[in-house]
Amino acid sequence: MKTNFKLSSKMHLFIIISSAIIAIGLMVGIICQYVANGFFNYGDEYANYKSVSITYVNTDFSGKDEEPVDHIKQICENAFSNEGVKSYQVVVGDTKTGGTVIYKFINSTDGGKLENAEKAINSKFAEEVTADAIAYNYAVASNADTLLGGGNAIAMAAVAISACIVFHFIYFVIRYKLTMALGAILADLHNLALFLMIMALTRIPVGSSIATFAVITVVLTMIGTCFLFDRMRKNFKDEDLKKLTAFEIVDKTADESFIINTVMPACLATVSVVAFILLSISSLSPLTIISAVLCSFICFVSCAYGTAFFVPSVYSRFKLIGDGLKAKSRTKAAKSTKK
Amino acid sequence: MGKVKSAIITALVVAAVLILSLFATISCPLNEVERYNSFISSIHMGSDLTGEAYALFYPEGVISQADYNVVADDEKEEYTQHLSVYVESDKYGPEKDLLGSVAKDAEIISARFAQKGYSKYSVSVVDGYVIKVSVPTNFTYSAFKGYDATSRSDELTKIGNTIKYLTLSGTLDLKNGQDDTAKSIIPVSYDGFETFFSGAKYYAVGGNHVVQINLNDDGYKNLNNIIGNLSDGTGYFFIGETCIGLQMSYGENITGKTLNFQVGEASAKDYSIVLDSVINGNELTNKYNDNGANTEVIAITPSFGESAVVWLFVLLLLALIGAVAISVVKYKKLGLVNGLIAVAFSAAMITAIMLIGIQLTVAGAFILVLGLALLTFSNFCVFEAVRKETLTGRTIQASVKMGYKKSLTSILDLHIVILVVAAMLALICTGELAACGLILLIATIASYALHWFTRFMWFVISSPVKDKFKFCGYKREVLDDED
Repeated sequence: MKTNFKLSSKMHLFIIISSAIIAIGLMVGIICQYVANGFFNYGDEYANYKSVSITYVNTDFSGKDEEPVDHIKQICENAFSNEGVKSYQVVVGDTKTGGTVIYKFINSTDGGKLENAEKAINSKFAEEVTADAIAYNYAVASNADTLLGGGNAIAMAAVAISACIVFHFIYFVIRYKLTMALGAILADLHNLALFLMIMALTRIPVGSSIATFAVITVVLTMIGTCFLFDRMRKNFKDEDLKKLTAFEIVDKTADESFIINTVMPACLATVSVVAFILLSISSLSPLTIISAVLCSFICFVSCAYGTAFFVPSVYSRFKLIGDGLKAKSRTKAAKSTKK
Repeated sequence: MGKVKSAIITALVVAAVLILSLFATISCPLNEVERYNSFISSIHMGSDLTGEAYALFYPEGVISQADYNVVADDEKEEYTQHLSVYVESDKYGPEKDLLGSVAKDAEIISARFAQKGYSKYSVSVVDGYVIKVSVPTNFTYSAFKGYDATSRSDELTKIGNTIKYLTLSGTLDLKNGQDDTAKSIIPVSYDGFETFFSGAKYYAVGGNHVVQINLNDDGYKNLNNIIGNLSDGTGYFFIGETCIGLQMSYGENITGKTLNFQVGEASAKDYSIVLDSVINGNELTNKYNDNGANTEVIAITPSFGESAVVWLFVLLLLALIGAVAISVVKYKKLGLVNGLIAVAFSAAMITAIMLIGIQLTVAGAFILVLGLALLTFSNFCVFEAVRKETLTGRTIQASVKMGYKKSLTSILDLHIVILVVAAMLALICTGELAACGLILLIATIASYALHWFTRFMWFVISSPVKDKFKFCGYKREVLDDED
């Protein structure tokens, strides 16, 4: 596929788009840091929540064909729908004597309604469960304040990402040229900032996996820049292309590596969408999956935009400045030789 | 290469890949009792796929609804209900210390669990009085589904022990026995046994797992003063009233400022974490669940659903099928060679993850797909370079040689960069990210090795083919006559 985007001439447009997104994201993040629940919207993993837990013994629903847990779920869901509350997550577990079912609700759910539901569930148990076992079948409503853990892991992820970006720069300085190394580090920082700021801006609930997707952003950018700058280096050395200007060569290279820098993130984004569909079937609650999938989707879109559009356009100026400096130093050297 | 030789090598490679893939993916019952668990069903999974285990910690004076239900009627008056818990009336209320001390203990417990390196964990304060700790079950799929009951109970026992040790309350002590009657050998004139030390850490060398406790200068002198004057015997380390599995002989002076204890793999890290926490003054104020005696660990279903692992496997399979399909559409029979390599890559990755014991999460699965993309796009890059060479009028053999030569640096650069980045992630990060780094490291090595294996298989399979252009899906360059 050949494109004719002439990216070099659109540098200002890309800088404006990126700066606007990053600035707005940063602003929203900072405001939310003080007035909401933090720079990012910390999701289920870190969120305070309300819950209704049902503890039961296995043998209580004699005469029913279904499993005790299924019958309990039916009772609970009726009680919750009567109160007009909806849980965002249901998990079941086994205990020594039977089992437990936990319904989690967002923290803003009305506690009074949950207590009413709890009472309704308990009264239903009192009707259906044998009298001597009623003490072991009950529902309780509670509030959980989750501590913002994982600080150490996120700090280490930040150190690792910084180390990776520095290594990327040094490797490109050694193997390629300084201007290309600057282009590579710009790509890493731009794509990472874009990903993080879009996450802050869109208020998508984030968990500890945000660090993993930040790393995937950097890795995918590195793959993209390796293809882009390798092609760039070859084209600048190509005798047949000597007559073209630096901008034209950059545009030609961006066109040549356009497919690899967009198709790979597009393929991974497709995998994200398929993951969303499949895991939604599994969890029966798309809300649980959506944040992780959106997180990955934003990661791939940031990479595709940054590596295929933004970086070539800005690199064309780096190249121009680099060539200008080189020409100056050559002229100086020539003058000093003449003298 | 001749037809026979080509056929034999192709058949051997295809058979090897197929057999490895079958062992990697297909589980089946061997007889009524035994079952073969495939490699993929023996991979440890994160909490998003096989659920988490949680335990509730009730401080002294706080009981659950279950316990309250069995309390004698005349004693029930002593408790005040607060949402899901019952608190002894003299400890209830914001003006009492209990609320604050539970919150502080939760912070300390959270800091302890953070050092454990779990892919995901959470510590919550429930209704102000109860601490809830959740960690991944680390089940394999076979353990999760109950096909491997031993492995399931082993994992729950490990979690139970970790939770028990990391929630120990009280100060550090050295006692002359292991039971309740044991007495401290540290005289009360000293300011506590924990003041003898500067910290504790865990390390493993050659399969040995060691807890290292560092003495400070005063502690070194004091400990020698104490144990040098005692007759031969054994001192046992206690945290609060619980004896942990570390013991030291006394009756003679210690020579170095570090005490090294070789202990089992399962508990070494737990001991070092809790010791370091206590030595640095982070002791829990309250005793919970009768010092861990009444702690029940409950494994709950994953948030992504009980069949999340199966769907994730379907996703990985679809990604593989997608990679093969794109290859075949774009490069015809050469695409099939790439498909065979992609299958080999997938089987190799499953085997490696299972053997190394890396915990797989949804993010880890994305890294696997990224690794597959790295291999596929590296091969596509070379296939395109070869296609370009054929357009200059070269034969396929010459084009392949030139194409691989020209793309060598870009493929090598790409793999070196990703390899170093993956190594950095695996070494610097903890938990899920470290696991992802390790998966990426293996995927990069496999990708580079299989990139060259693709060339070998391309040569082997295409050797007996007459129309090699058609085999590769390339168009033959027709040179115009210039007259």
